[in-house]
Amino acid sequence: MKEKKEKQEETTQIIVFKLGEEEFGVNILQVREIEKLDQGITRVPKAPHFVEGVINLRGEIIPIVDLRARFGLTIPEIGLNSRVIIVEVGEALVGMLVDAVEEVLRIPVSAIEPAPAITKGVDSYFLAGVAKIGERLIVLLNLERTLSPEEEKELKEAELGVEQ
Amino acid sequence: MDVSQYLNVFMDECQEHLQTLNQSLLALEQEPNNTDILNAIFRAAHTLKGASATMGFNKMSNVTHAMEDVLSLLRQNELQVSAELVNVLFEALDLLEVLAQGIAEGREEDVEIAGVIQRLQKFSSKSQEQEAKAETGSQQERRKTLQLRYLPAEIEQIKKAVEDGLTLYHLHVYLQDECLLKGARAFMILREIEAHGEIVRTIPTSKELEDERFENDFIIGILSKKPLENLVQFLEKMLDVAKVEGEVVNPENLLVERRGGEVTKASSSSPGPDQQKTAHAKAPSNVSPTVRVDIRKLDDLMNLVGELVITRSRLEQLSLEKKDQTLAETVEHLSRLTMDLRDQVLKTRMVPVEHVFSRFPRLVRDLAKETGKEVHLEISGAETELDRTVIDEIADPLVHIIRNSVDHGIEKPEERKAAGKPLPGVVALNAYQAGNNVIIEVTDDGAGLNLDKIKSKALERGIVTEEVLENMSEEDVMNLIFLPGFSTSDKVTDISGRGVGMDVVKTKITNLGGIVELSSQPGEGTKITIRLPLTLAIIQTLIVQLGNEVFAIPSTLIDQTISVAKKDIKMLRNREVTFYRGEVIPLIRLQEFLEVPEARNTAQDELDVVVISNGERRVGFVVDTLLRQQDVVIKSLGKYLGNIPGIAGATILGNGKIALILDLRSVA
Repeated sequence: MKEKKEKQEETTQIIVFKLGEEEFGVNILQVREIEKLDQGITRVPKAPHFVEGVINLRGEIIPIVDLRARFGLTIPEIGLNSRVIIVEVGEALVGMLVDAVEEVLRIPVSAIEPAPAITKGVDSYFLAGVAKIGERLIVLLNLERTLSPEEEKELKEAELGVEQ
Repeated sequence: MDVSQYLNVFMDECQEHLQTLNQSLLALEQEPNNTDILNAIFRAAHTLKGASATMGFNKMSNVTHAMEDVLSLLRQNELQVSAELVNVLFEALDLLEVLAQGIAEGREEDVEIAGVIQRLQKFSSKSQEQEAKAETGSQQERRKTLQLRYLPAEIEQIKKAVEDGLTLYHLHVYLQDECLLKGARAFMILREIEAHGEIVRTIPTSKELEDERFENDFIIGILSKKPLENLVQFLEKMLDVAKVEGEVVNPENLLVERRGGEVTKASSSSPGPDQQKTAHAKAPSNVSPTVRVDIRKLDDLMNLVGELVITRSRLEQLSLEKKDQTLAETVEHLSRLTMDLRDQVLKTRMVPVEHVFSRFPRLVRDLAKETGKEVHLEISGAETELDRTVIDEIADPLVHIIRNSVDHGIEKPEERKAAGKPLPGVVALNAYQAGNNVIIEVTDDGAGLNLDKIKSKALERGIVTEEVLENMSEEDVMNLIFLPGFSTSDKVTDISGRGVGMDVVKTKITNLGGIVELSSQPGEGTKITIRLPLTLAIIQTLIVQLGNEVFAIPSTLIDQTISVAKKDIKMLRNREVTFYRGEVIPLIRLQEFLEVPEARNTAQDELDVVVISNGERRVGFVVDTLLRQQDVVIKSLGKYLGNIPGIAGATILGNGKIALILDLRSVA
């Protein structure tokens, strides 16, 4: 989805989820599974502030990142619809805490456009682009940046407009 | 050929052979005439040569080849074991270890090998000179080197043939010096003589003869019906033959060749075939069938078993609720199987400490030579088993302790004599299992720790003040050597003065969940005791509660758990303190460090306190409730979270919840 080819047939699949009322998407190839929060999250003191804690995924300890905290949005309560999307980043498995998972969507690659500097309150540093599907505007995440634990350094670079 | 996939197997084998070489060379130094040891060394060098050549590690194969040349001369008694020779062989072994390291790191090419090979070749060429000299000696001597030996089966065959009326002759054929194409000539001779009888054996072998790998003469062992004179005359008539000596041989007096080249006389009381049988039967018994398994696979297995143990606990809870007799029995059975499985998996990870201990005789030998001391290393309990991961980690600290024992502990020979102590000095290495721990003791009968020296050094280094020193017990003074930046040796020696102190030893062992203790008697020696957990994968913990959260504290870190009344808490420089074993220790409310919001201990009158010992410092951590002791499977928090200070990992409890394992030393 990073390449923008004009062929109409070329599509990509994304998983659409909600943070508040806004719709976000991640490439389905990076998603391992989607979990409910049955067991609750174990808090990890001294961890980065956007790490909500860890969960037990069939014996594996998986860190959970709260995307709202990561993007500096208001922090919601964990509700009935809250889900954890387990994604693979580098060699690590990380869970993203989202308010709800909506659907799997097949979108044409041509519908993806570069994200404006700030989209729905999220810095474009974290974004891979914006998909316009009819009336809907789905913000696509750059998971490597979104989930990088070295937030401060990279955030600063983002503010200074330094591209890596 | 892409050999990368075989590299691990090669490295494993390589380590094994290097270890064999090390042990056998040490043994050879003690028993220079033991052919078994020599054969073991030869085999190891030979296998290593073959393996490294196959893998394309030319430097290693060159070094082993040079070693092999020297060793094969030793085996043929053409070279004698000398101290100088053993030193060069050790040097070669060290070089092989460097090469192995280099291969592992992909920089074998950087290692310089020419010097060692040259020194090895000095020995192999020396003996060739001697051989050349021997050749000019009398023929009587020459004959001694050419002796026909037979396999036991061949001797049986000869005995039968003799019973059938044949005679065994040894025909010693000398070719003319000017003979060209000696190999072809020898081949012709063998073919011609074959018409007159059955050739049992020749020396050199017929293959060697054909390849012209012989001097000027050879012996044929032949069974024939014809008289000796006829055969000798027949041979003497042949072209290029200078002389033939023939003799009739009694089959009862034949020399037997056995595997390994050992020579014994066959006698009718111990017939050949039996000997061969025992030789064959012996060989396989030395090798126990094993499978090499990647340690990571065992880790995975251990994790799965850990999961099983947790699921079992859940099942047990469910069956208690259901109150069904059959279910309860089945769950009970499952429980037992699970625990057996866990024990077995743990056992597969166990390795005898011999793996580490085996390198120490060499270490002590070298150290003793360097320092001019006489030291004997006694090893006991080498069969004691420890988890593989612990074994790998324990080697360096032990090396350091043993270095210290030889360098600082054992006195010079003249000092020992003056003190009326026996020579050599003894460093004893002892391992044994005690419950869930393995104890390793390093004892020396040297001078013991010099307390005054430690005190003055500690003052000089500014580690303690004079006032503090005065109030210290002898034990406390001794323990000063575990503090960073301490070294009792006045001079920096090659052995102990590498800037690595006992503090590093202590840190490493504590990181393994172990404990180091020290005791010493002036003039009688020092004893260092290391207590290690059997395995790193499963540790014993104390489960504590704070607010609504539970945490696990490794039992090895805990000094004691105490109950402190609120009135016994005093304030000192704005910090809470209390009395513990006659000393004032700081109290830390664990919730402050762990940022637990709803801890209840602030409102309690009696506080549960876990006292953690971090070297000399003791700190009390206040929790809400002590729940229970529990063995837990350690899991890492993963790369994403990385190292978080104060948290050693996590574990999954019986109810499926995660409890963090606290490493409170960094807080204390």
